[in-house]
Amino acid sequence: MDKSKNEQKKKKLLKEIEKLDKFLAFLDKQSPKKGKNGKN
Amino acid sequence: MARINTETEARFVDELRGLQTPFSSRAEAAEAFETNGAEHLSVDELERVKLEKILQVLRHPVLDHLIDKGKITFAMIKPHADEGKGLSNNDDEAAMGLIREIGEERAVFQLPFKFTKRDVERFYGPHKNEFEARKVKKPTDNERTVWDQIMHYYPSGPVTFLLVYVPEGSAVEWLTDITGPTLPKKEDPDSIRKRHGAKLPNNYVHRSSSIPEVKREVDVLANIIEKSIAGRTL
Repeated sequence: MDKSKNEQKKKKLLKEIEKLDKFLAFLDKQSPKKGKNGKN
Repeated sequence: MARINTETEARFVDELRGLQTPFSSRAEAAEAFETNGAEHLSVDELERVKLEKILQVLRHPVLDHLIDKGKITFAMIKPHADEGKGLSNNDDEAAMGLIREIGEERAVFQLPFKFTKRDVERFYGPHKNEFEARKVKKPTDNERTVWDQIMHYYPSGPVTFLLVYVPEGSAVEWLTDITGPTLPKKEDPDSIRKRHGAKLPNNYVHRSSSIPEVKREVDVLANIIEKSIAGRTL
């Protein structure tokens, strides 16, 4: 694979990782691991 | 248990659909294993990071909740999909044909992968005694029991892991109905397995048998991915 293709692949992966991070943050907001009383 | 609303459910399913898993085909997944031998995946650092995050999604309470509600079940397109009657001679195209029959809009997560013998033990472990007690009808040198057959068959080609979303619920039952019994008989209604001439061990589609099994199999899948990437060779 040439250098520019590698760069493209890297950029794409970084975007996907960023998207996954946002998704996980959203999911964590919907289901906080602990409630106000500290229980799950 | 997580409590989620319909908006969260819709977004979860949409995000699952949009996930780009490391291998775009079963052939690619098989190649990644063959490069590095039987046990470890060949993926680069960023793919590994991405897979770790996909693991977090697979282990997230929201997925657990949707499984509990009967909206998501687990399935797997077995090795050698191309052996199916009426399916393409190309394994990847045949697997896609089977996924289309389940419904592309329902198969919200797809991950081509390849089982090692150790993975098969993890996946079918709870049924080992039962399978070891059953003899195969036409034994070969390597296959005296159903367990031997399974251990020989699964690592012989790539599989595709699937999460199947059924918005109206009863996902396990729905998938059981459309895939059909383990080995359909003449009098059985039309099903994916019947249509393509299911035989053992290849009846084309594995599906979880109950909600606890969905949870166990998703957990095994996550553990298999985790172990594969932990021991990777860059």
